[in-house]
Amino acid sequence: MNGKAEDISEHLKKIGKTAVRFDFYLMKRAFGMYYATWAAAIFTLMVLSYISNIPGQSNTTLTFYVLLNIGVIIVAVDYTQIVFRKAFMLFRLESDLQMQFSLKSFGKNAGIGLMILIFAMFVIIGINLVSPDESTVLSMIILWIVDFYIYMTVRMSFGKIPPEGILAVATFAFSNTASSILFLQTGNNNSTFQIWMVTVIGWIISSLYSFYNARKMYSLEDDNSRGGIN
Amino acid sequence: MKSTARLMIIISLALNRKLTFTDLLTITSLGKGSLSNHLDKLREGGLIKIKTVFSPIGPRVMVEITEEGMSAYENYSKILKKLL
Repeated sequence: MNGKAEDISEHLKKIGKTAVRFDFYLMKRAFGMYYATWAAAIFTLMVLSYISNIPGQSNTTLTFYVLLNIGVIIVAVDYTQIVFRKAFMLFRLESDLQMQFSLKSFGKNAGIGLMILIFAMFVIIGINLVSPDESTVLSMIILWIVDFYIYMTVRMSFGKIPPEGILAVATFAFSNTASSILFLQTGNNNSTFQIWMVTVIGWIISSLYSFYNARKMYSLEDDNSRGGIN
Repeated sequence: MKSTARLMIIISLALNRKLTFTDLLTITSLGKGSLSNHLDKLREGGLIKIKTVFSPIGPRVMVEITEEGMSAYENYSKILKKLL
């Protein structure tokens, strides 16, 4: 009787582990899309900021870029919640299977908390509650927290942070810190566009590498790991 | 759920909420006919919904997990916790 129960237990675990292994392939692809959508969102945001600083821009041009920017950001935010939900679900299953990697989930509440923080930041900066310098420091701190959240989510998904994740997190941290420090020192944001292009390029590379790696990861799976499916 | 393939499909759908027929072919490594049979059984059990959606690269068969399917996954998750 015990032997049979153990067999069933092993069988259920094996199915779960096989599902997790193949889900890594889907997660890589999902993160590839995530990096690509945010590279597009940051790029359009920087183009908007650059264009709005050029004197004599027509309202039509600005309106077009504002609407484009809102559209791209809505798509990016929507895709973010899809990818992060997948990450949390995968982490939960890995924990159930005791495959997880000595990393404690910081739960969905952290995501909600982060959204509240970002909203509060927009309100504080939008109604001029703080000086431009203080706004810069505040947004830099919030973006560091965002970067840490991305790092934790990528790590939760794959157990350890993959190279494309390191590139994405590092370029974001660089652009955030460098553009803020430069603004605090010079009082203008002339180099912001160029500095954030580092992140855009970094995230495009991360995206391409994720797609490439997903295909490679799948083709490396040997046929034995797919055996027993009927 | 008696079949390994069907449990694999439910787990993958629970993690991803919805997947294309092609994704499921890749994950399960089943043939098209065999996968269709498993999906039909899951649909009859009310665990999944199957619909055709239009995308820039043409129509695609999308498979989505239902609330009942999520409950089945939660049961599997509970069993795993008890076993380990």
